[in-house]
Amino acid sequence: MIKAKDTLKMLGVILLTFGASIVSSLFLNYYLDLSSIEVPQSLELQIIYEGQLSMSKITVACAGGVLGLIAVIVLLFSIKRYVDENQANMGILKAMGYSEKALSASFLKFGYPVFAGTFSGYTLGIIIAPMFYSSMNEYEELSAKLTPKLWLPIIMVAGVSIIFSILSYYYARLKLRKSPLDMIKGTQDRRVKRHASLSKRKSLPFIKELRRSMRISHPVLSLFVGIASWGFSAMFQMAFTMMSIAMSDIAPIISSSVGIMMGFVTLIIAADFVLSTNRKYISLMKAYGYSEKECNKSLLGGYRPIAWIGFALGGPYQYYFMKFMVSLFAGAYDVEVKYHFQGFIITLVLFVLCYEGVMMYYGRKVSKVSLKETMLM
Amino acid sequence: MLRVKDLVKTYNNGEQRLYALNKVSFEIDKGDFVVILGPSGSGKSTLLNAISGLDPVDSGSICYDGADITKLDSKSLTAFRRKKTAFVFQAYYLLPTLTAEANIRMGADLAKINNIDDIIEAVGLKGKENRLPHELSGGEQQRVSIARAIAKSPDILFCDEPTGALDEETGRQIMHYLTKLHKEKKLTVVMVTHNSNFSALSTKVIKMNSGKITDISICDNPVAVDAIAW
Repeated sequence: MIKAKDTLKMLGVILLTFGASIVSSLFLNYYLDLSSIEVPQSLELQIIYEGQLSMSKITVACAGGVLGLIAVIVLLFSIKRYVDENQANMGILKAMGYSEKALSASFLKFGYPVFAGTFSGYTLGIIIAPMFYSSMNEYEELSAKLTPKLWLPIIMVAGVSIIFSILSYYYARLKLRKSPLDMIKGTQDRRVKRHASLSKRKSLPFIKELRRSMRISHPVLSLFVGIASWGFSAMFQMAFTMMSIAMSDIAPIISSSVGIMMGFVTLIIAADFVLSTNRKYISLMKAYGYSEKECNKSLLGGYRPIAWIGFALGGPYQYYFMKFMVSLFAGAYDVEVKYHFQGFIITLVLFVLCYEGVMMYYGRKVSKVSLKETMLM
Repeated sequence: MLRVKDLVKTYNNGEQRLYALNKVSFEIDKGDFVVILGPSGSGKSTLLNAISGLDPVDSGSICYDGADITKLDSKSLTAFRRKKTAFVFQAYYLLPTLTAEANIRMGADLAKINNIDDIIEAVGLKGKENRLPHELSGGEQQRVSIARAIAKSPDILFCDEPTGALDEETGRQIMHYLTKLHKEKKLTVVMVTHNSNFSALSTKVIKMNSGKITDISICDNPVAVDAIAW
């Protein structure tokens, strides 16, 4: 039912797992290789040694962990969307006697894009590791050498892919736990949770109300947009802060790449989800005479305040995070971390361009939603 | 009010060209209650979608008060639907995350109507404004859908099988609301149905088969909803 080549179209999952793997492979290998060398005698080198170990751990947890977590959410979103779009077909198969177990088994293939991402990410990480090591090895006494570790790719590539496959299987089983008739008719998906505030107040004008309900009914999506903007803002500004304190050459590149990946991929996936789950209602609004601008405003516009909150939080976060990172080397390095105002302005301009660019692109997609979708309900 | 002339709508089915509408012509006057009757696949829903500006046609004209909507660009067509038309669908098509009141506001805001209490009361939904669609029965959901449509103050209301998903009692209730609106507000109603008993409620019946109009009849004395068989 699900073809392997279809799952490889999940570019978001591939990119996110690629990003998570490249960062994790670099810093995990470095951490393991550095921790295997003898602890230096000098107090100053000991501080640097401990600081670099801590920095590697934190980077793996923050960049690799966050990207990995977003990849999990994106994967679950993709499965939900696949089930929603194909539930009529799956309902027919269920009605014909296919078990939930048999139908869910084909979702194991959702591990393929994860494998593609982790494999290419880990491989590239190993290829660029010598360059990364040379930028990190400032002192001869603290020179870590890249040593082959077979168990690491087994865990990071095969292990992670298997975990994602199993996760896909169980999540699909959960989503397929409906009666065949409900799946064929698509009835249950219309049920939404009642938000407590609904009973207490008068409703707002329609567009405002729809915008508000979009945020409330998809809290994960709101979180997603917030994280995307926060990640973009924090990682980009962090790259500027790193450059200003003359940290390694490669770290700003990694930081800004992670920012772009978090921001773009997450935002595109969120906007795509909003559009795909609301096509019928966009069509209905158009049938009633709402303009394309109004449709955009009510659906995609609802997430703009969250995106700006995320962006605003990114700046202070990266500032205090960098202060903390530098404090790990206190005694060895005396560097003052300052808020990089120019970096903030450049990130702000880039954010506006990227966010509004993505919104404009999806706005065009909204304009292409056919009125015929009202008739096909 | 509405003049339809030589309307043609075709679909390609492989190498065959299927005529969903084949040279369809008729007129509707202001205040008419028109029932379009026909078996499945006769083209009645295609006709409704075409004359309401939802679906483009291959040729022919659809004139509203003298203006041909087949010649309008997308922006003007949106403005036409915004000002003139409203819809009631068989599957209600309510926005699931919005309350009944907010769904009705979808129509009311377009007509810049702030107070919708009268409309809610008129369709018997007083006290149920804050319920979500899935917390309402089928008949109540259809009443929200009707309220949403009339809140827009349309010139013409298009209904596609509005009782198709309802039992007899609820269906009668819905028809009661529609005929009441037609009489009290002098609203023009165009309704597609396969239930031939509804023809007794109308002022004009258009019968269709295989994309063509087979008969148009005018009824001077529409009967009450309770008087028809179901």
